Amino acid sequence: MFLRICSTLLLCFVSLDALAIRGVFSANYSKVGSSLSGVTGGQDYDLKAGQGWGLSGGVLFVISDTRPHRFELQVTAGYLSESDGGSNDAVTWRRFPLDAIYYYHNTRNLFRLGGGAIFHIENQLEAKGVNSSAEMRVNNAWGWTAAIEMCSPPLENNNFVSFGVRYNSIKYNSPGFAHEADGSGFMLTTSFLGF
Amino acid sequence: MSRRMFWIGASLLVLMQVGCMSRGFNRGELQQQIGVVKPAFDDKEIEKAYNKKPLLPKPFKLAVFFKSPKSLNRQEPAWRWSDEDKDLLGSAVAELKAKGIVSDVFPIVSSVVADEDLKSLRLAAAQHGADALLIIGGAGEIDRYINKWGWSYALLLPAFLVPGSEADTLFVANAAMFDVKNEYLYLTAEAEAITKETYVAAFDKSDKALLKDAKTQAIGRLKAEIEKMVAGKKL
Repeated sequence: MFLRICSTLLLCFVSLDALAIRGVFSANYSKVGSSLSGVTGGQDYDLKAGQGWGLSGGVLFVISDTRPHRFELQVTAGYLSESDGGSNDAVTWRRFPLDAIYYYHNTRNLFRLGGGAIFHIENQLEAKGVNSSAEMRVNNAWGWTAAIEMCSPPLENNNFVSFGVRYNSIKYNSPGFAHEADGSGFMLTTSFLGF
Repeated sequence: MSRRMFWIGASLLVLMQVGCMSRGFNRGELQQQIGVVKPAFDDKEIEKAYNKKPLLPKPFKLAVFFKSPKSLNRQEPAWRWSDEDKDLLGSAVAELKAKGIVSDVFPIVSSVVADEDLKSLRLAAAQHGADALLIIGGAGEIDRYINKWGWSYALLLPAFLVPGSEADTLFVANAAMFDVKNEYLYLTAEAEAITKETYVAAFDKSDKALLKDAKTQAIGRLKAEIEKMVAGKKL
C-alpha cells in the first residue's frame, strides 16, 4: 500500500514540470530500541531493534521554492544494517527503509523541520553458529518519523548539506518473536541535497 | 489554558505575517551586472574624462552591442536577448536613421569580441568602421515568497490548490553610447520593470517565463528613455 501511494505521488510530482526535482543522499546512525535477543529467544548477541548504520538515496521535490519559507518532499530508499558477534556466531540485523518526509525549510535561519512516514521492508535477522536460532524474517513495518536538521548556506548550484536528528517510531513483529520489538528512538542523520 | 492558547495563536499570526514578507531585490548586484565600466576613483581619470570632446561626424555610423546575460552560481542565465527585444530597440535606432542623425546601424556579434569590457567593444566597433558604440545591458532578479495562505503548504495538499506563493520580478535595462575614438560618453538611459504574480506552488511559472515578461516591459521603457535622451542631446 505504501509503495502504491509513493508510486502514485511520484508519478504526479514528476508529471508537474513546475516542480524542481533534486537528488538527495543520506547517511544515518542509531543505537536505540529494545533488545532483539530478548524477543528471539535469549541468544548471545547485543543488537537493538532500532540500531544500525544506514545509507539512502532518493529524490527531493521542491514543492514551494520560496524564500525564506520553503516546503520540500523527500522520498528515499536505503539500506540499514548492524552486526554483532565474531565471525563464527555473528548476527546481522538488516532492513531496507523507505522514507517519505515533508519538510519546512527555512533558508534564512538554515534549518529544516520535517515529518513523515517510514516503511521498513525485507527485514531480516541473519545468524550463524551458536546464535543460528535467531535467524528469521521479520514482517514489514510501518512507522512515522520527525526530523530537525541544521542546513548549510547554499553551495554551488544551490546544493546544500544538512545535519540533524530524527525520531523514528516503529515496531517490528515476526512469528519467531516472543513479543513486539520496539525500534523507536533518535537517529543521527546527515544529507547532501541538490545534485 | 484558553488565554495561553490565545497568546500562542496571536504570536503565530504575527510571526506568519512577518515571515510572509518579500526579502526585496539586491539592486547593488543588478547594477554590477549591467555596468559597462568599473569606475576608477582617481583624479587623473576624472580629469581625462572631463577633457574628452565629442568627435561624432554628422551623420555617424552606429554599432550596437547587446551584453551577454550574467549567470549566478554557475547556473545557466535565466534569460537571453530575443529577436523581439532587438527589434524593439532597433526601432528606436531606426528613428535616428530616419532623422539623418545616423547613416548606418550594424550589430556587433559576441563571437568577434574578445571580452565584453569597453575597450574590447570599442576595438570591435572600430574594426566595423563605426563612429559610435551603443551598449545595451540588462539584469533580472526574482523574489519568490509565500503570502499568508502559503502557510497552508505545511499540509502538502494545499500546495496543489491554494495560491499561496508570490513572485516579484525586477528587470533593469540600460543603454550607453560611447565615441569609438575617445570613449566620450554621449548618452545613458536606464529603465526597469517590476511584475508581480500570485500562483499555486505546484504550478509556478519558470524563472525564464517570469523574467521574459519583466524584460519585455523594461525594454519598452528603455526605448522611450533612449528617444527622450536623443531628443534632448541634439547629437
